[in-house]
Amino acid sequence: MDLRRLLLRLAAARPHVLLVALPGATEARLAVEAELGRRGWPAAVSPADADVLLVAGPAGPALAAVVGRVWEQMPEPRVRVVVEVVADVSGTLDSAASQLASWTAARPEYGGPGPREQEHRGPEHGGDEHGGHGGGMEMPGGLPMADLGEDRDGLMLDRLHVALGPVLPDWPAGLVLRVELQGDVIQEAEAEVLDPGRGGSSRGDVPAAEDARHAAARHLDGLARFLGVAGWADPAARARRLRDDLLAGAEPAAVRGQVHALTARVRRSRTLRWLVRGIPAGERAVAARLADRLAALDAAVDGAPPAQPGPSRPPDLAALARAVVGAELAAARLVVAAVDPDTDLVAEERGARHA
Amino acid sequence: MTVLFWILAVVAVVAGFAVFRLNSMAQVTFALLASFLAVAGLVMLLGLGYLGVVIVLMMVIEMVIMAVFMVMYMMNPAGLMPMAMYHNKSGSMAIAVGTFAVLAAGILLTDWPTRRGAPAPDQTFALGEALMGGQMLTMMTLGVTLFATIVGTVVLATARGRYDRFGDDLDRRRADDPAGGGPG
Amino acid sequence: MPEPMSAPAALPLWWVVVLPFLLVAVAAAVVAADASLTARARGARADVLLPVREAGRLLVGQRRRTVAADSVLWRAGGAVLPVAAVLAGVVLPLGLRPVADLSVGVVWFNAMEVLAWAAVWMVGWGPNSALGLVGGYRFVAQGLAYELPHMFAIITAALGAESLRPTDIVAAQRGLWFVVIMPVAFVVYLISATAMAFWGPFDAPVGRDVAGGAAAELSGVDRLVFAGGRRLLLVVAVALAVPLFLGGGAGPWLPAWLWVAVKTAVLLALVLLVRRRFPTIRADRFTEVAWIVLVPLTIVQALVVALLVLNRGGAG
Repeated sequence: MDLRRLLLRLAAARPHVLLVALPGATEARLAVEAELGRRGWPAAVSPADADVLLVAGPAGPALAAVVGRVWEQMPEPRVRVVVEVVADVSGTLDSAASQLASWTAARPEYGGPGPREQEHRGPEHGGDEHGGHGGGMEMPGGLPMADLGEDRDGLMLDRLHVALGPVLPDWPAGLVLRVELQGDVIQEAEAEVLDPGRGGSSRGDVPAAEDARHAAARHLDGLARFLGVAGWADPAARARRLRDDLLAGAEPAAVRGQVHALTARVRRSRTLRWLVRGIPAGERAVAARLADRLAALDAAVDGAPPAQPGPSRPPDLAALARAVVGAELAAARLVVAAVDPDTDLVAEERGARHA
Repeated sequence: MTVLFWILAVVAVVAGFAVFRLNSMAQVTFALLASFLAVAGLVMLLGLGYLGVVIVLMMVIEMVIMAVFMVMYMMNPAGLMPMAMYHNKSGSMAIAVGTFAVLAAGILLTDWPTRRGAPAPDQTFALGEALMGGQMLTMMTLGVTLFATIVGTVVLATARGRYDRFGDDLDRRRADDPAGGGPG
Repeated sequence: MPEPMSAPAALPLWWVVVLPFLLVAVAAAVVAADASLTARARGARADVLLPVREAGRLLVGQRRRTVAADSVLWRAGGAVLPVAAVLAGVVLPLGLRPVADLSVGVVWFNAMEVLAWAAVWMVGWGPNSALGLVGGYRFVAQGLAYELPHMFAIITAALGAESLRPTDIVAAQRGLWFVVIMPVAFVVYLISATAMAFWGPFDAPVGRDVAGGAAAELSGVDRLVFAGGRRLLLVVAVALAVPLFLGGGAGPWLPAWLWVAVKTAVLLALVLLVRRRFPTIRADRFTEVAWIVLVPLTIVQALVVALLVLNRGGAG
């Protein structure tokens, strides 16, 4: 079919890439995001939307299983690639695109037993460990049903067990938040980082003495992810672009004007203030954490010495789990994005449960 | 016209009966909606455009809100757990089928008089005049009563009143709500 | 159409076939324009072929099935969206005449766009996915917030013209566009039209934070139909603002159809730009504003217009 080949070639010029970031491989993630931005390739938000599954970094056993399940969920044509060395990014993406363009595998007829359906019935799904974005296979027959509990108005309503992460847009690498949802409200939460401590290095490649450029890039990255979760794509894209410029070698002083314009725009937005108002996130509320980040970002490009030396304390996952309890799902996403736990620093097996 | 009538009539009855046959609450809700939509089509066939369209409008909103309540009480997506929307299946089915049979028999057996007069040139206008002209008082009373009922139900149902939200002296600037937001 | 049509007021019957293609073309232009704005923000180059690429990609893509899915509702929901948008589009005056000149046109329009409630909810519910379901009920919550202000805004325009027929509403604006005497209704209409197509900043139902929400599990042609239907709904909903508030095809020099096209394009551009200015407004925040600010505002607006109509001796 020539038409089909033509469509495949057209589509392969702009594949949707589902980026699975692994703890300890932030550098690879940043390199991939920068390259995707240069090419104008969109980042897929869910496995269903993806053509390329790109795993940034070496996956440990738990994450390898997650990646496998995400792969099963992806529709054909699909390509799966791994980026471990930053220098490989461009070539890897090129080869993924050319594989998509020349995709020939027979497409299973709709209605036939697609690959994902068979495999999803497998016994490995008996546990609570769900792949990626928590959808698609929440409760096939035999999995635990929602149970009952009182909601915040005192009504007995169903509770649903949902695993958020580790494959979610703008989500900390490797983090899994197992929550009990009642409607939109999280009633219980448990946080865990899958395969922690494998990368060994912190975000960027400067663990100890963080210079102004990396501090600015780190804050821009955090800001971009927060704005992405808040659904404000335009400044998020600008923040990413500035971050990529910095990491590509631009001097902080050179981008100062643009960064100040960005932070001013975010601060000025009354809508954003109204949207993040009154959401507690542990010791500081979401709005305060956002203000902190903007101030730190401004300071970093102004050349001021960072108020606090780079993050070296591993994030407190128990506190994170506590912070999302009682929040609505959208607010919980904002909480996680505002706290922005650096999962690279999680050393060994850690879990935290809060009821 | 006749073909359309029969299609819609059959859809209405079959979808209505499907409410008893399906075992997923979501499918039942939308089967009921399909039945209502077919009835709305029949009403439009009668030349009552406004009434037909309003039936579509109201029924879609009602059924979807019903579906949300359903999710609230049983939030397993895709209706994994087979569950019926009614109690006493045989009883309710007997009542439904019986009502249908009696009404249908009544319609078929009645000796309908031949039409005298002609329909109004603008049905919508005539409808509005009938409701808001002669029956103005009835409609206004009905409307206010319904509105009072809704407000009263909400006030009774909610556990939190303005004293919880704005403090004992109602002097809090911003309401203390479990989920913030809104203008105040 | 069961509705008695006055023959000269409607376009010839073959327009029924043309209308969907026309709407799809406009929707594709919207996609291309939006994507080029996005590319500019990111520093990448714009791509005019983008709608074709995306559509082609979804056409050759595999359709997915999920475990224990409610396939009937899932597929039906996706299909309802574009159908509802096109059905709503039949009452749009494309120039002077719509495809179907219904006497209850604006109510028909409202009824068709309300089908989106059912459609999005079904698409969210169907795949047996928690995030999809969240997207589905987010849209219903949003619908409960925007629908009443939306109805009041539409009714205000109908009240000003004393008719539910879009062509009559256009005719009533010969002297003065309704946007002048009912600016609040116009703004509220645009807000609610955007919310109805769950377009930014009201895109929480398909939000990034829930991995695409209602659309999270869609792939292949299902995704194309859903995403396309959403754009069609946006185009149609925004386009009705032209006959309701901006005098339809009225304007100097140019033919009526061109004026309609120009006005619609301006409104669509406005909607695209507004999306960039605001973060996603979540339903939990929007609902309260809608009910205690927008609903009273639109009621007062309707009252003002009613007094104007009575004053000029209408409704006699």
